[in-house]
Amino acid sequence: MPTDAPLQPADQATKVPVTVLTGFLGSGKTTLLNRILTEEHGKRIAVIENEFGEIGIDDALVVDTEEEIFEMNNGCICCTVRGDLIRVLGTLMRRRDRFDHILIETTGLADPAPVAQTFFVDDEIAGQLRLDAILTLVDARHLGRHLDDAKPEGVENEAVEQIAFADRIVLNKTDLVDEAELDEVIGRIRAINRVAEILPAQYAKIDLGKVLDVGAFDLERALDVDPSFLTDGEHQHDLTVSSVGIELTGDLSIPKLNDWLGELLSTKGADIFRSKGVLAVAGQQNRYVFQGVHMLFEGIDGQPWGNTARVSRLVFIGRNLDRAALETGLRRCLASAR
Amino acid sequence: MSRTANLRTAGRTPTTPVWSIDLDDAVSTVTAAPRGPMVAAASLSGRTVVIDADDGVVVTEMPHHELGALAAAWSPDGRRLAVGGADGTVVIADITIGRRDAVMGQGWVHALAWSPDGQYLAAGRGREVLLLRPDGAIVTRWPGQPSTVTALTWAGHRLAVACYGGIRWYEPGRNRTEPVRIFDWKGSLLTIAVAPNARWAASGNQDASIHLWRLWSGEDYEMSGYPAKVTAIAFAPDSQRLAAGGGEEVTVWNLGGKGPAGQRPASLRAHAGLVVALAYAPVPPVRTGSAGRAGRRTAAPPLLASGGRDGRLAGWRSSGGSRRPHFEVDLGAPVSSVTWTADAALVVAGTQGGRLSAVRPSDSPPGTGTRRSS
Repeated sequence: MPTDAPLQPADQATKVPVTVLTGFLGSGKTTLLNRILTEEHGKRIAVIENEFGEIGIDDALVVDTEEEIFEMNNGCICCTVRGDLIRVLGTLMRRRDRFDHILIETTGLADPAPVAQTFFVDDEIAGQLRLDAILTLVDARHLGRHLDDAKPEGVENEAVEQIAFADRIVLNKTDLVDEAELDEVIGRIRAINRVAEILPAQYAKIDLGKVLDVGAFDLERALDVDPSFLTDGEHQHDLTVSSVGIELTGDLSIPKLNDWLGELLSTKGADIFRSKGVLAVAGQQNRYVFQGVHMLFEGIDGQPWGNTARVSRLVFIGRNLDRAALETGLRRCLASAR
Repeated sequence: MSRTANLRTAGRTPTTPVWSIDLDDAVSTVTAAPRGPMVAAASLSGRTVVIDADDGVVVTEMPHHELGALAAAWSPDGRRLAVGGADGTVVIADITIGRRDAVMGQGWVHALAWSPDGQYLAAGRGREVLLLRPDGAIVTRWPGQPSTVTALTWAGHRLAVACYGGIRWYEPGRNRTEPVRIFDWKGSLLTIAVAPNARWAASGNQDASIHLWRLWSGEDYEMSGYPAKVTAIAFAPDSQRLAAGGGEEVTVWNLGGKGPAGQRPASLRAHAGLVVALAYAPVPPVRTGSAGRAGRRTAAPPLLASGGRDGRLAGWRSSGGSRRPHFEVDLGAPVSSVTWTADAALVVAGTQGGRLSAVRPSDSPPGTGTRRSS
């Protein structure tokens, strides 16, 4: 939601990072969790699980919780949050021993939105924790089948959803596919989410530095995107979930932007899973940076533009996105536009 | 302990704790026995201590709860203490004879409440409500609540269960598996309270609001627009007022007359952080021979104690013109729970830092204030 009190970068640094781990059963979540706990053994890590996994590390605090999703009114916006996480994280954060990192493992079929939204709407959580990244594990061999799973009208394919929400995607079990199959899987992931970094792996062996404490939800780093994608034409008309990147030169007007984004996210927010932007705003020395999950978004002043070209970049990942309408909408926010 | 005899400056009693002790971790709850001097404090280390509030000495310790002790409740006669934890266990101890009974299981025990007649202990564990006898025997279970049970309280022989979606009322005697009544409200209830006169039930909610129901008619009111989720609410002993946190101010709603519709609450300002704990001083039984004349009319209104994330503990006269705190003390770490001893002489507060402190609001015994002309 639009917030009057921007987060201070200094505050962000003292907050405990939280990684959300999603992925289908069999994608290797437990293997990755055990790897993280083994390799990062010097750290105090808490793991919040929804399924009884096989975590065998004594140092870590493992808490089992049953997913409780409820609707919550947040101002005029209604969104879903995870009530169990609010309670469990709230209790963990009151303890005297502080954790260096918290991992939240979701069930195989979970929609990542309520988890992410929890970090936007609960003050106690937002004040002490920061959502570092949504990490999605996929099985290179079976992903295609999961993506093709036909769902009843109005029900989202969970595999599509988990990929759309991801900041990092671990493409696991690459040893079970040949190169052509791998290219195809990567192509399918890219068709949905053009922003997330894809990390191919076997036995969930990845450089943990690329998935932990990466600040993917860090507003300062909101858009580390390959620029070519932003100017790319739309090739994937057949896909219902895709990414749209927009680049625009010229300063934007904040009131127009607020009107447009507010209207867009309140009417189309259900279809827009993630939104990120680094914008050039008229009269402002600094970048305006924002991150959104469905209808909720948060924006702050970022780094100064300095000598770099004042080019606004925006990314939407969602269902039935209308690139032309989004581009027109953003262009109307130019300070020079009438 | 030094007594600062009748020192009063501008209506305030400057206070420092009478005693303090440290537990190993954040205090999750502190609760005074309804009779006698005992106070129980549970901590997230899993430790629960019983303290004699008169001198701050630990009288006994309850069994350890892995991952933390979360809830504690005294039986109405002050003999038994029930403690529940994240290990799914409820322990009931008879403090007078040292007997202990435990009920084990899975799920976090967030809520415990004894029936007013002391016959039952209700325990909220995960999505289930357990109804226990004082010896721990399970009378019945009400599983499958809409969400984790966040709070329990009794109104006479009816048990109020709070979770997502409203308050569900159960009646132990009727042997029914379904609630006898439901106060539906689409929201996440974090805490509930029933007015001592059993006319009102109130909930503090995740969506930064308070919901209030008239018990007989079920007519309800919503007070929204709080800055944060409301985790602390308290009815005054005379049931005429409802105090609430949910911001840096304590708001006090007047329930007299036609009810709270259309009115604005009084707001009490002393905290520079969210108010997370509230407790009204109990009205001690009238001693024979002292206030024989219309005791209630001449008695000063009970003090309301408020604890904030700013580490401050403040006390307020619930009515009267002054909006300044009656007392204030800095406890050095965010307050997590507040209780009054049965004789209303001491406020005992626990903090997230793990410290438990007792504060004496005033050296004059409660109930001896002067009549106000307003």
